[in-house]
Amino acid sequence: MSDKKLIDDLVSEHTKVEQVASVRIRFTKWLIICALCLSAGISMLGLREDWMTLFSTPILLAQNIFILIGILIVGVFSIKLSVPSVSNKKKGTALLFVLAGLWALILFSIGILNNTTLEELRKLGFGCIQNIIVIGLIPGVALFILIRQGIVLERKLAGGIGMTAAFGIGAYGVQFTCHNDGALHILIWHFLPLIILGVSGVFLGKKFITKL
Amino acid sequence: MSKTNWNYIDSLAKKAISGDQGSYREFLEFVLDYVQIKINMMIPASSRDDVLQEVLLGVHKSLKTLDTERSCKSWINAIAHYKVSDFLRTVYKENRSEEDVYDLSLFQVDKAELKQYITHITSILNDNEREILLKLKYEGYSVSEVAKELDLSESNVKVISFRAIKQIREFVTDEEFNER
Repeated sequence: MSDKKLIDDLVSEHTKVEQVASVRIRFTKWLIICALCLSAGISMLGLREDWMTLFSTPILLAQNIFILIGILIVGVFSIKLSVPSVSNKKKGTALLFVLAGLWALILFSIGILNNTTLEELRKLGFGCIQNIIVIGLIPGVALFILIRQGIVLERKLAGGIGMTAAFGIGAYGVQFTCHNDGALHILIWHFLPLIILGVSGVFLGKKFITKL
Repeated sequence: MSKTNWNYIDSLAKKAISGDQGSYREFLEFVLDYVQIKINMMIPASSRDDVLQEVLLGVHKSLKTLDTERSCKSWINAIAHYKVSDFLRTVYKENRSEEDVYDLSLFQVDKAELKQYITHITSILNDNEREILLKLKYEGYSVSEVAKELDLSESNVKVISFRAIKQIREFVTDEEFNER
């Protein structure tokens, strides 16, 4: 088919284009879904009695704020990836590494301040992983739907970042249900699962996000 | 090479989104011309038409994401860049060797076209920078030969050449595919 013929075909079937909602609108929708899932998840799983320590202990407060800001940045970035030209692969990859590095640094500080010992490793935390998934599942599905409304050029990255954002909500919520604030516990049972779930998003992105 | 009137193209895109078929045709024809020269530089002659049409289809499918408040330049570049990369990725996956992909005979680059492109990308340099760069990178002179001919120190030639390349890299990045 010649270029001219293709243009003729495209023009003949062209009508008014329904624009996809802006990044801001889609992000706001996602935030509302996250807030609902977060509150429902925490109420369902049970709020820890001493939850105020998350806000009164400086390093835990720092972690709290960091995760929240990280989720917001990563969430908006994943939606931005559904608009060609708004963001790119390098920025997205760098963002993930910077955020992961900063959280690791916070955990290192918690470890030093709380005199963490290897004893913590004896306590298993599969429940935390399960809770992260429970809280983050609906935000994850919602985010995928919102991303798919646009056109994604970097499907794997969008999937990875999207899942990190969604299960980041889970990791944030789990702070309010898990009684263990030890650095090693958070590292192994909150931080690493989030990384693994984020990586799984790479495969999900490739599978479920339509190629242009 | 004439400078593209992006305000006009943006207005075409806006009308196209509202359903105006005439504007849409003009917009697609512009996209075709705009990406053609870039594709000619990167894709073997035998596959150029396919990639061009892929870009047109990509633009057609992505129209719903075009933000009319912003210039469509980077949007078009992003889609073209994606389609070119996708083509090259597919070629590699098919186990064609790098030599095959970059075999210049496959590219069949038109010399006049190449000259036009070089003139275009060096148009941002001043006369001195352009002369030094072309002598070094196009005509094959060594740094010492250029320094001697222009009565400059070798380090000066290197610095000017480095700055010129940097300017061109930024210009090409902005102008071609990566303004995202």
